[in-house]
Amino acid sequence: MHRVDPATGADMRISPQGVTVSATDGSWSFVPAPDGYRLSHFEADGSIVAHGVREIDGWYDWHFILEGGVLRRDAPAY
Amino acid sequence: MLLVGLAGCATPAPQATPSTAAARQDPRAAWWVDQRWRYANDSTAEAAYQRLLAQQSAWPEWHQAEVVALPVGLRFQMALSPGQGTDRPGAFGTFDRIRDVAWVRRVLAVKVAWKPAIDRVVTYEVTDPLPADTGTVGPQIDAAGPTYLPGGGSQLEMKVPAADRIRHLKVVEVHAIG
Repeated sequence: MHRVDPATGADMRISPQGVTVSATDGSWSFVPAPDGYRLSHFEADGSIVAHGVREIDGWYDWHFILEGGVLRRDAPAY
Repeated sequence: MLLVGLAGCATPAPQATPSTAAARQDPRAAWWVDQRWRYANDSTAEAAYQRLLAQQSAWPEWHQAEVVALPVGLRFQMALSPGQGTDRPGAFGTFDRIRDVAWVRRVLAVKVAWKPAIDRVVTYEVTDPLPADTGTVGPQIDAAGPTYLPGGGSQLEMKVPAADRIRHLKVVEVHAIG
């Protein structure tokens, strides 16, 4: 599954293990899934749903936002 | 005379109970109308409201968690996001018929942040006994709006690792909703 970042034009492809970000200049980087999570899919707002192996605040599934080269946990995913 | 007598005996409305008109505009007031009675006093009710904001549990406070094995053949529905494959179900489903997105927001109390967009409904059937907690959807306060989402629908929460969920299920039907 992939998505083009509307701000940078970078192509983002997710696998359970992480996000591969391909910039428009041809460079690329890989951002690993947070420890204990497998990435699932993009949401309409660009956040990434990931499934965790343990509950945090009662939730296994969370949205993560790619910021500054890391995936930041945001809201629970229903 | 009778009216005067009744008025004299009437229990005055507590000051903390907002009017229905106010509740329509204020999500906290709407929560208060529905939920205040569950708590012994205003301070414990306020604490419960703050817990809901902070912890946003999908279950009402009165829910008693109990994991059961949903039997083979049982069907339930789930709202899906655009791009969410039916082979990647979320943790929650409902035994109610999902009518439309507004119903998902209100009765299943699905905050916008939890599922920014919804475009389909999938009906799953259990093919292998599925450990799950079942019960009633708890209320939420959605920052989008902000809005009081009363909940009240039925729900199940699968209690198997996410990657294993689909191994207990088969897809019966998928249709679009708006």
